[in-house]
Amino acid sequence: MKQNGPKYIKQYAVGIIDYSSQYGGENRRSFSYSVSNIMGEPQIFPKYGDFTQAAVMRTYGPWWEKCESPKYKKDNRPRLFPFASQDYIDVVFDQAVYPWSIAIYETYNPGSLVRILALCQHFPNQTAKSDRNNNVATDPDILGKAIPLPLIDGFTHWEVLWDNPHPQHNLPTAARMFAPILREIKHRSRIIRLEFCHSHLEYYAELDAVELTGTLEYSGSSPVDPPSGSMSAMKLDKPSTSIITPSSSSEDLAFSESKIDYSLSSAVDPEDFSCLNSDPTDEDNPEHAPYPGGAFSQLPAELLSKIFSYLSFPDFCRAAQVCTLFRSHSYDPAQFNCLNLHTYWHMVNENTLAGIVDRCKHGCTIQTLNMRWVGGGDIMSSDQLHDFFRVCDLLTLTFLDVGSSPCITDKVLKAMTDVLPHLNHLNIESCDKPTSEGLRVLHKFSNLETLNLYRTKVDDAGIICVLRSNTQLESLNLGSCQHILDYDKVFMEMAAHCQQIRIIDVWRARSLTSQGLNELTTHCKHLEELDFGWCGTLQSSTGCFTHLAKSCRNLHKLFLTANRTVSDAEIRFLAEHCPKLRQLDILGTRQVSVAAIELLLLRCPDMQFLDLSFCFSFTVEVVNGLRTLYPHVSIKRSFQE
Amino acid sequence: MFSVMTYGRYAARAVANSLSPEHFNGIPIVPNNPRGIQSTVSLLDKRLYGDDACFVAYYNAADVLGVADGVGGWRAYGIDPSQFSKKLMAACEMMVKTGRFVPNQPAELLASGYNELLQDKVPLAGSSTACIVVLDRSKQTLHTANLGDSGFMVVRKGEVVHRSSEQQHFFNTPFQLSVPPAEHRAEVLNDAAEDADTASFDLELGDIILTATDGLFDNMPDHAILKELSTLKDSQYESIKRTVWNLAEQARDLSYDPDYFSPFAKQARKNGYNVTGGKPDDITILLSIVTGD
Repeated sequence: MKQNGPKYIKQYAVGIIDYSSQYGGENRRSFSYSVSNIMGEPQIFPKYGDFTQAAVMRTYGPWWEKCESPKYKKDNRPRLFPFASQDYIDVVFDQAVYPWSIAIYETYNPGSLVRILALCQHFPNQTAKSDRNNNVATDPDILGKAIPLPLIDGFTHWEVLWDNPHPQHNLPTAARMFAPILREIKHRSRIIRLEFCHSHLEYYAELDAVELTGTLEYSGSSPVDPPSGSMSAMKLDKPSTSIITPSSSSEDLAFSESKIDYSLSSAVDPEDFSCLNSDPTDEDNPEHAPYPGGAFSQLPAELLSKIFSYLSFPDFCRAAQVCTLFRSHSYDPAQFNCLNLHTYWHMVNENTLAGIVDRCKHGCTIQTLNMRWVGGGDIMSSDQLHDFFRVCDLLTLTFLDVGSSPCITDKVLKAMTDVLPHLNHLNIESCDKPTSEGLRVLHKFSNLETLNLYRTKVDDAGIICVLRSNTQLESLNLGSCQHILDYDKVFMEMAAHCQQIRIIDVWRARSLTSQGLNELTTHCKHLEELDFGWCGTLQSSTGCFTHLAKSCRNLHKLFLTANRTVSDAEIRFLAEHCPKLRQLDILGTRQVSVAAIELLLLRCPDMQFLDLSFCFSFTVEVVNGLRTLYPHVSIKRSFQE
Repeated sequence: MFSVMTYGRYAARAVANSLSPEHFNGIPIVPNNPRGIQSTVSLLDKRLYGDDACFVAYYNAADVLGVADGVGGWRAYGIDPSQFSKKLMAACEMMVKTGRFVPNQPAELLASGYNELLQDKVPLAGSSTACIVVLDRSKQTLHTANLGDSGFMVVRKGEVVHRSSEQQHFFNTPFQLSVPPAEHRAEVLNDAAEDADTASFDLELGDIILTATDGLFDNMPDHAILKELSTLKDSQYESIKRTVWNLAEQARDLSYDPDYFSPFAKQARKNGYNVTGGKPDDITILLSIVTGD
């Protein structure tokens, strides 16, 4: 009998475990533009357009990043992957399989997928062939997070199935099914993380479904070949041991990202990070080497230090294993001014944290710490992160970003407030484990300038206490904070205590009215960036927007997405009083005329971004006409067709 | 548990396919106007009809049918009435497909679908009636919610055993879910999904459930509908489809008969309007039969 090929099972997602952001509201009964739309079979494909049944993330393009003022020091190490993932969705399937292919259905602005990871649980003393079936609860909660991940006698880790170092630009504007060829892994998985980067896209990336194809039995090198012709440049048989080929240019010691040959890169072995705190394997032996530490010891220490600062973080860690000289540089506190672990979130575990603690022991001056997404898939416990904050010397830390980290809990927040007195910038967006009571502890910080609480459970009392104790607050994000019941009160407190405030994001604030807004605009004279998207209770008939225009001469970003009450009067006031306006979004209003927008464009020469989607008077012809007249302005016009 | 149900569905567009504008001269049309004011609207507007929408969706043991009739008077405000009914039905359909509903609370489903309309980027305006019918196969019950003058009928052994009743504010102005455009918030009729008539019944094998917009009920009296339904010989898809076609064709023919004393004309007379003839309108009919295994 002829041996058959392995049997492939096709599945669509049955649940969402976690996600970093979404365009839709957090109310589970609402499906419009919600990430939950990625579950199940495709509903829209092959249609192309901006539909409510698609899964959409909160942002796109450079527009949100452009406005953030980089007052904090950035980690300038070259990254292993030249993109930075901006969003993720963790989907779960019914059956754990050895993944063979994953296809995503993109129904608007394709090209945002940059990495796919699979959460693998494996048990010691089990070979791949006798891999047990994961006995997880099989009744997913379709409306939101679900599926507890039991870590019983097993190890959980993420395997990178695919990544694309160069996000695809200028794809044809048509719906597509994108199915990259995946790395073969030796574990079964039913939880997949899709990572997205959308800063190069023209408008929101929208997804319809994700399909996982795999086998139940491990087939090794399968006799069935993947379809030829697709992604042949990315053919990855085995992870290569040499991860990065450094620049071959000899005249330039500078380690330029663009010269790195990434086509050979593949997933970095998680084991690499465990060497963060290991000793050199090659003991220094004067009898064997003419120079202790090799030829490098001839270089002045500052020069070697400079070279080390150009190493990407995994290389920097591995260097500690080479020799004592390298180890001393790898442990030099001066190298640890800024640490960005975001791209490596899937490799960060307690050993990594221990390594950081070791390095921060003596005279550490770490100022910036970016640990976005760490602990995803519960590969690290919140207790480990809690102990890290308690033990590590982080007195000099001014910038902390732990967005979307499941390790952030009430206990960890409390620890943070105890050990980080000088913190200026805090980002805990999408950390949904801290409770409303737990978040009240944030008022213990007293030097905050930036605070991002997007999609957290902060309530009125919590945020008001923070506002009262951080009077030099400049940037605040309270988007999709469903537990805040009276945004007017919050705004009035802001007007009373935080008059330096410049940047406010209150996306989907359901209770904000002109009462709160007028109070804010009367007392806060430094307002520059305001995002009032989907704040349906703000009515232009109250005059609050015209009052805003008159009071804020420095205004350069105003988003009134889906306000519906924006009219010519508001546009004319903006044209007259806010000459520095750079970004305006008036999506979905029927009451603004072409003449008013033309006046605005004339009076605001710095305009870069104008969203006129779903505005009654702005047909394709009109918008194209405006684009010709004002080529420096990115004028958006979305469609549903 | 009834394991199989067969559905036929057919939506007839009253004008676009079959008749040309010349046939209408002189037939008075009383459009559904949001304020209940009568007016004669230009008959040459080809988009005068086409405002109905419907959906059929399944989730676990529940089969859900819905019809919605967009209120035509919105044309006078420059708004396309078919958008509202279409989107309302699409929203309810999505709610069902993703399990965001409870089978014995069809009015809640309607309310969620309606609330979802405001979450669309496209600024929606308009209004429509709605009728939602949920067949719970595991409990052999029918749960219904009706707002306005669309409706349903349950026929058992040749007799009507359950029927929805029309909800109207005044003649030709049914209860309606509406989203007024931002400029006209104050003046517009807006009924809430909670005002819908709800009812639940037990079902038996062989029951026929007819869900339709007023295009059918205004032009065909019950006995004529029953007569057509009695010709249904089995629960095959083809038979159901044929019956639905026949019903729709009859209703359409009657609607253009100027001498026919239609149920609509009867109702008009009762309210003091001296009219005869049928009422040309969109006709949407969903027919379902309870079958066994």
